Amino acid sequence: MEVDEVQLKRASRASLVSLSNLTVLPVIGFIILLLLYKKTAPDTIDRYYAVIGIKINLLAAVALLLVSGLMVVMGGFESHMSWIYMLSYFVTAHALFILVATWALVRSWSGKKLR
Amino acid sequence: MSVQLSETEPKLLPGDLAIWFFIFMELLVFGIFFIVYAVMRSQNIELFNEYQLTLNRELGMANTLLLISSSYFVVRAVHAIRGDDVNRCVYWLYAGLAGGTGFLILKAVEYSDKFSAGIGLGTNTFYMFYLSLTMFHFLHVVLGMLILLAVVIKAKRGAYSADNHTGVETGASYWHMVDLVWIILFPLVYIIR
Amino acid sequence: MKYESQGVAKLYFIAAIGLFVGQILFGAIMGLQYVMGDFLFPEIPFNVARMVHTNLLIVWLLFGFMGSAYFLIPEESERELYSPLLAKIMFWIFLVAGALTILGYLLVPYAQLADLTMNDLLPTMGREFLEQPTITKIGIVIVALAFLFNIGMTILTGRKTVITLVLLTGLVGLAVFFLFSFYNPDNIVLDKYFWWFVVHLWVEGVWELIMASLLAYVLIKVTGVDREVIEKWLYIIIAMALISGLIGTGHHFYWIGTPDYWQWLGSVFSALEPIPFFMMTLFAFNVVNKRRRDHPNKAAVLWALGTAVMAFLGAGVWGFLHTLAPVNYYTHGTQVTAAHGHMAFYGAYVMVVLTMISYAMPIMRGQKAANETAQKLEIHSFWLMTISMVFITLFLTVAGFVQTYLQRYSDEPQSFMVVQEQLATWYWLREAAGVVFLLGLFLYIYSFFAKGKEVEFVEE
Repeated sequence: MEVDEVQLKRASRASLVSLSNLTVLPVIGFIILLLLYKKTAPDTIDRYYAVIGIKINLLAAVALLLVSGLMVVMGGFESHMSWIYMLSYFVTAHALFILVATWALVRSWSGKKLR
Repeated sequence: MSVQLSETEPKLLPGDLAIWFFIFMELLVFGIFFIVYAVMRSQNIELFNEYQLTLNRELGMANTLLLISSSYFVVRAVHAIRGDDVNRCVYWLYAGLAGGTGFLILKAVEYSDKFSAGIGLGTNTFYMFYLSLTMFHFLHVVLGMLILLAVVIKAKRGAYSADNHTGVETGASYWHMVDLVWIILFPLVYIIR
Repeated sequence: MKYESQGVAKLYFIAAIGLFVGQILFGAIMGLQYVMGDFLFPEIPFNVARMVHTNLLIVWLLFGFMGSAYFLIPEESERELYSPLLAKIMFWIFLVAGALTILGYLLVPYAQLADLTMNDLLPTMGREFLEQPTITKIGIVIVALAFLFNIGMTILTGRKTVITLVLLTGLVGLAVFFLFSFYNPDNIVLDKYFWWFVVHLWVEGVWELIMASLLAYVLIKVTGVDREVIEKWLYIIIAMALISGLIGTGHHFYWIGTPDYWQWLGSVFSALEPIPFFMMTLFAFNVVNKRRRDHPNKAAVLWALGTAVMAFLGAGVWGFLHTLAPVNYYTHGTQVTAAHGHMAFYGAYVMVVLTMISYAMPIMRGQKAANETAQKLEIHSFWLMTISMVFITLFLTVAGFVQTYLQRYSDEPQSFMVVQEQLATWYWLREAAGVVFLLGLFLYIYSFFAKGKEVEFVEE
């Protein structure tokens, strides 16, 4: 795959925004990521990382919001144990997503795919 | 160099990328601080308004002007080194440092005034924020000056030129951050009611 | 090994691992005492086991730091150690003093130990982590000074690099902040202030400098990435660590009778404390990704990456979890703290010392890297220890949340011991994970003796 400077920069920006969406800029980060995605062409490194970012964040949304929500709803909103499990789960899962997004960021800096 | 740049996408940030990470973190710190200040103010508006009047706005204003002009001098220094004029670059950096020194002196006068009136972090919530915010910024001015000083020393040794002046831009970027924070801090703490 | 005198590190590392085993054994005993209160009573009461567990941790980490410094500094400074003999003498003094202190804890009642060591003359005992008799403390200062003199002379007369300077700053800070442990005001609030100046400014201040420089050194060695790149990262990491960590001390001053501005300062600054740890992760990932060569010592690379990740999780995330004043109001001093403490100490400091040992030990034994079998075993032990530590942390976190709820948050708060009984399941699980950790540690030690095919090394 040919990689030029502009694509490389966009690829690292996409991974940075994906990481931001997980940490300091939820939702806003995702919107920027979608806008970045629209600028990319198929089969390029920036498209690759925009897609990775979108996947990570969608997965994170499901794993963090949906699963946590289900844990509380199914465990009972009033049950303190369901909140306790949810919190422990949320902290752990969230940290893992951040680590994955960080690795993607680092890989995108060097213009290589994840694997 | 403009020819070269127009061919590819322009370089995103002047100076070293590392300093921008640092600047981002610093702005995050101050950002959190400002938000906390705003929230606490909204809960204690009367207290904040009352004690805000005790602050010395004239000194604050003078300090604002000092920092802004100092920032300008540093911009001149970057321009000078882009024109390969090391001497002029050093002079402008000295001018920038002088602005910073002036800021520190005025701030010291302001603090000694407050401290001699028996005001401390524990006096009330407003003074707590006033002192911790401005002192934290004060430390940043000191750090910024140290960075500029390091740039001056390196420049004198002939480390920078028109082709290679990332160091000057790096120092300047940090100094602008220090200035920028004060420009937000000053109205927020001293003026807005 | 480039310089003969680097070899003194071997003594320190062996002692460190030996004490590490002791620490984990006492941890396992204490974990059992959580659920079987009279286990080994009256020979080893819980409070003594706890004291031994935490003190051994600190002492063996100090051994590890000193050993790392003795190995790293000659190579960075490009000269022999100023005085290898002094390093050896100090090793034995420190080891004997440490062993006597631990025996003192175990063999005589603590109050009697205080009498025996003439604590009255300069009372410094009786505070968590600083339980050492005053004479031991003085011994620590002497050893630290001799150590600093030794490495200081080596650094100052040799090549100065960012890594050695950061390491030296960290080690000097370590010695200086320890001096606060001699100041023991009658006012208990003031006492806590100064106590935290030792404990906090160590682990969330100067130790971070030591950790960052050790990590940077190993990463340079195993990846071949430019020194310049690594130094830049190092600067930013330590700047962030100090900016957030120093005033972050405030997060210990929330509820101990201190002015309430600490709740603001502590919350704001310690909320930023995860940042340097996150940057360390980013830094380690980045450097390993950009590596110029595949170093034959795969175990060391794994330890280095593991340090960065686990320090971020343990110190960064689990620290942030309960650092904000409104949260800490409820979680203060519960098992949440224990969860954070375990993963942070393991992830940041235990792992960075093991990283150094993993890199340096084969070299001191005349190899580039350990043989293939040994490395495989070491990597297994890495996963055993790390995963069991993750589980210890998770179980304690859940226990902590349950405890916080039942004891502090629910409409009908229950008393401490009543709550503790309801946590028994979690404590049992934690103990099981702890046993796995101990097995991992034995496997780790065994890996040093395993024989196998030598790894091939392509010269740079």
